[in-house]
Amino acid sequence: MRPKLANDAIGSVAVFLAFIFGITALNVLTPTKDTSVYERRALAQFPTVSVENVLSGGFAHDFGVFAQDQAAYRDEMRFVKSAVERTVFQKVTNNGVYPIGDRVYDQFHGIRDDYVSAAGRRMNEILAAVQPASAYLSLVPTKAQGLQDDRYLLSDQHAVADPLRDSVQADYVDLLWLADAGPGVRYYGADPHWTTSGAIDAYGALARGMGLDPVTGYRFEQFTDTYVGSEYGKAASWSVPLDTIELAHNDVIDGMSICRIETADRTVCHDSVYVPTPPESLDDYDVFLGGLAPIVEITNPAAPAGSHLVMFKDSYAHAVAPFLAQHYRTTTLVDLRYVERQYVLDNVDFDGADVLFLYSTSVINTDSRAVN
Amino acid sequence: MVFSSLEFLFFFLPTILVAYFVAPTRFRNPVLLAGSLFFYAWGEPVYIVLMLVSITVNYGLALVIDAHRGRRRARLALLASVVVSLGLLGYFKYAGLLVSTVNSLLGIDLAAPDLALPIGISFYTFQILSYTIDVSRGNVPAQRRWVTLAMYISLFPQLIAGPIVRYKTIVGQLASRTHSLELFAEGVGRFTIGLAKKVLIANNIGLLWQAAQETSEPSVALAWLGIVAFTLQIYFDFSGYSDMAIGLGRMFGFTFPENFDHPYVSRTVTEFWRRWHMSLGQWFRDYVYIPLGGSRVPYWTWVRNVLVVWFLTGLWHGASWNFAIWGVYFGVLMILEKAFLRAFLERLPRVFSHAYLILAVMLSWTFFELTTADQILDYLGTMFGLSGAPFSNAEAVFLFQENLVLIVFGIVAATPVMAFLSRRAPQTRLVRVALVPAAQGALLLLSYAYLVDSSFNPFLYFRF
Repeated sequence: MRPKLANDAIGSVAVFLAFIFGITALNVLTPTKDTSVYERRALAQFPTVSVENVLSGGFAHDFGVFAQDQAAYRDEMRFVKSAVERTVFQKVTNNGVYPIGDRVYDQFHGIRDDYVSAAGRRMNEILAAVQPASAYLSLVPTKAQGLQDDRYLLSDQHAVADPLRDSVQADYVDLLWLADAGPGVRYYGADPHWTTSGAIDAYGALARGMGLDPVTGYRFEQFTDTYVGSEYGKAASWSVPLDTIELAHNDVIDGMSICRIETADRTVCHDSVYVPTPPESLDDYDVFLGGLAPIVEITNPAAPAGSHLVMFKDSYAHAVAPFLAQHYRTTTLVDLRYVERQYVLDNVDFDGADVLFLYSTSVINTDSRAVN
Repeated sequence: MVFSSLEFLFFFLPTILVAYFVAPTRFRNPVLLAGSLFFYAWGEPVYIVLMLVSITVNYGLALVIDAHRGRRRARLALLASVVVSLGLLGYFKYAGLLVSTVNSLLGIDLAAPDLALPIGISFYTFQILSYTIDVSRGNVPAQRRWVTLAMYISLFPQLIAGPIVRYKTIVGQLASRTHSLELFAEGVGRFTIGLAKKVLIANNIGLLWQAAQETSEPSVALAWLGIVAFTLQIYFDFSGYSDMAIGLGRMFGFTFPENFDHPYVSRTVTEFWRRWHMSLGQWFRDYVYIPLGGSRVPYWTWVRNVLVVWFLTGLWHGASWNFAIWGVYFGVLMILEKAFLRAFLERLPRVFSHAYLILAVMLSWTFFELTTADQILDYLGTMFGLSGAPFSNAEAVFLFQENLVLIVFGIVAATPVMAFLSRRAPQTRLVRVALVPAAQGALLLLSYAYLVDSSFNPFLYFRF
């Protein structure tokens, strides 16, 4: 007969061995993945084996990253961790975002006055250089501004908007109120960007501020109902659903075409402002104008010849640009994070153009090169 | 490779367990040596040569010492062992500090050697010295088998972060040791607790310390919150690693000495150091303090002995003067405690002596963890309201709320309460056979979940 003590020990030993050998077996048997859909990034692959790589310690380091990225049930474990953080440790954040109910909010905290003042100074430099017909400035509120509870650490984004409003030599169009009433349907649940509905509201306010008559009445097409927003993977919360992206249509928007100037030597054109993302794409938001590019030019044959809008912008502008483009023959979107200012000044035609600076308060506050 | 890494848990550990337990008994030491060398080479593919040279040289010197014990040749061999071991440690760990100090003092610009610190060199050097010194003292015979000695020095569970296992402690186990399901299960329990301490508590609360250091809105409250977080982080980090080492040792049939005994419940610094990193304290006591004369010497000689020991203890932790100051700080407190402080504290309610100890230790962590004088003075200035920072602000309140449960849990878990509750829990068969394994499984799974989603997994004592 086996001693009683040995029988008692079997459980612990069995659990431990099942744990380490079970997960090892799963790691070995599970095919290596190229990308993480939820985290929207490429996953590390098995590192290069070479004498140099091994002796430098590079192989050991890279193998550690590979093991973490390719860990069995990685997504499920990230959700487990998030749940424990919020239920056991009573945290309201996970990976730098607030998962609250079925929505995720970014942590907007800490005002970088130096970034804000630098952005304002550079906007004025651009305006002085291009002498636009009209100049406008507007700031996209962060979704987090809709949080009302003191439990969340949240800076007042007026600390970004007000100095820019006061210093930039452009007409200011206030959009911050869009988030004040709560995010509602103006923002995706797990992505910081505007929904199409939110973009239409923003467009209405922008158009009125720019002296334009907003166009209403659109047909809506569901592009996807499995949109993995950029905050979905950070939140890793079972209570947060995937988002739906809708595209707005009317005859004018459907008649537009775009050209994406991706490098000085490479321009790619499409006959729609909506560019279906390839199956391997990790970001369905790229459907708007084909995603980020240094310069994107929208052509609207239905608008009066010679009317031209140049938007200095970040990604938030992509959803709203097709609506504003209804009023201009040419709308040029410039992302100064990806192109030097001088190249833009030398190559974009500003003659008679309106200029709009449209930036998220969050981008201005966290990226020193948002306006370079 | 650290124990709390996926490559250790799901690559190295399963492999070494299978290889070890499948191997015939006579091959188990060579298997463990090979595994340990692979483990070390994973992180130090070049410096493994240094460790092997050190092992081999001291293997030979110990044989000479043993063969000529009591004679001049043995003394010379011991001297050579000390010089070689400390010379390598000094060169690889302290040469940069020495050169930069000389440069500062003399206003010259000697080039400091650009050397990476070999992982674990402080630990294995002390183990080697304990071996040759004990052989010289006649406490143990020299090891005739190179493989056995090399396995002792490089044994992966304790190689890079201790506990510092002295040769005489496990010499019998090196030759022959018992393996059983009970021992393995004990090891599993200890390893699981250590992994959870490290991954679920230390790494998690370490983020709060990181936030306190990196804040752009410092406040008195956040500075104190940060140092409380580091106080917990370093305890759970290091004691968790020691638990994992002891647990792994148990799985392979070894019994390593304990390294921590709830140090934060101490009432004096002297008691704290009897409970914190015990294997290091015992090493310095046996190989430095007592040879210097210990306490059975005139008062001022004793004061010198204490300061020397704690100066060296501080420097052992890192090649930077802040560590030396950290060590001397504790030495001075021990001298004061012996002179009058302990007697004074004992007359007060216990809460005051506990508060004194916690405050003394928390302050020490500022100049342990922050390396430059500016950083240390800035942080201390903020803690004591001398920097102009507000008492509190929104970030401090937020981080306090965000980490409150973790802090409370950490404080409770740092006391013997858990062990007390564990002892008082009903020892029914259901508990032993089902609940304990289930709890261990849950902790392992949670640790895995945290490791998978963690980019913050430092090991604080790795640099020593």
